[in-house]
Amino acid sequence: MYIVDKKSDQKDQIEIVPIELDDLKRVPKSKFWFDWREEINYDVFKLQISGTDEILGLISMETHHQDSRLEIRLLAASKENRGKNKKFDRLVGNLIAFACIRSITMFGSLACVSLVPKTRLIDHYREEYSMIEAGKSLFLDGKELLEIIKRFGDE
Amino acid sequence: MSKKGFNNEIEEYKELIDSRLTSEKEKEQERNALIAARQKRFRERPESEKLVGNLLQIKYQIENYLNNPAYSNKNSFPKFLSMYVDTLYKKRKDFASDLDINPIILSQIINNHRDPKEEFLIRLIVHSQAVFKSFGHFDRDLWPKLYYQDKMCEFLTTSEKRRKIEERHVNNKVVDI
Repeated sequence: MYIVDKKSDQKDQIEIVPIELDDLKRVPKSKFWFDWREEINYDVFKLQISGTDEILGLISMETHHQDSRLEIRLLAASKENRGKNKKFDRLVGNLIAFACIRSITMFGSLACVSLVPKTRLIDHYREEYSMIEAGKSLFLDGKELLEIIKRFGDE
Repeated sequence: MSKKGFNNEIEEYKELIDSRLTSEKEKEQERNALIAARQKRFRERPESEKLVGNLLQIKYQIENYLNNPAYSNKNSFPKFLSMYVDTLYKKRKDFASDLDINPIILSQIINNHRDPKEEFLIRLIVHSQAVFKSFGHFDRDLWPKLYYQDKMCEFLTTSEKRRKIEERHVNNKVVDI
């Protein structure tokens, strides 16, 4: 997986690895929007450029085994990587693809990733990630989920 | 808020997701909506798509196992091999035929009664790479790494038991630190 530096167009390989307790001091609300200490009972992963330790993005997930579904509870790019002037592209796509790979690993053909978006962003997620609507939720499964893995993952 | 301010806020929120729901009633409603939508899609999904999902599951599970090997005397190579064969074929003898090997030998490998020969491993790699070619890739070292990982686990488990016996044969006449 890689991210793209918007200024130089340079591609940097990334890794998404479990967050450690010490990392929680390095992800303040001012930089990562949410209080990530509250997510300690869920699966929280950090995205960083391979070989570096600067955290660029975070994702918290809950596995619903009974439903063969993985829910993205929280996701945040760092402050410098949000909005029009963000430094890197593909951060969110990589984190969503990571959730898709994790879901496939657990559930195979039944894999599903869901989230509840802000109403104003429904169209964005539908267009950018081909997500499907159900109630207030959006989800990926089947072909759409495989396509996200192909686009952002290593397939 | 001005239109520009509104657009900037929307741009920033694209990199933020908060799915946390507080009410149990709402959680249940969302769960039911998701189940209904997914069931309909699953019924209409082509078998080929389901197959890709199940094959990727095997590949990712092998990769996860190799990245975080759990040392035990359980053999993972036969387990993943049987998953691979059973995902692709209704009858194991058809896989044996595609690899031009005796079905009895395949059965012995899957049941951990025989070690695979080098030629079997190479044919398995060729087969897996051909299967994955249309939708992804399959590293040529996955199966061999898995097999040798098992061998290392076996060695670490059994060598500890034999150590006391073998220690009697070792003299450290040269090393005197």
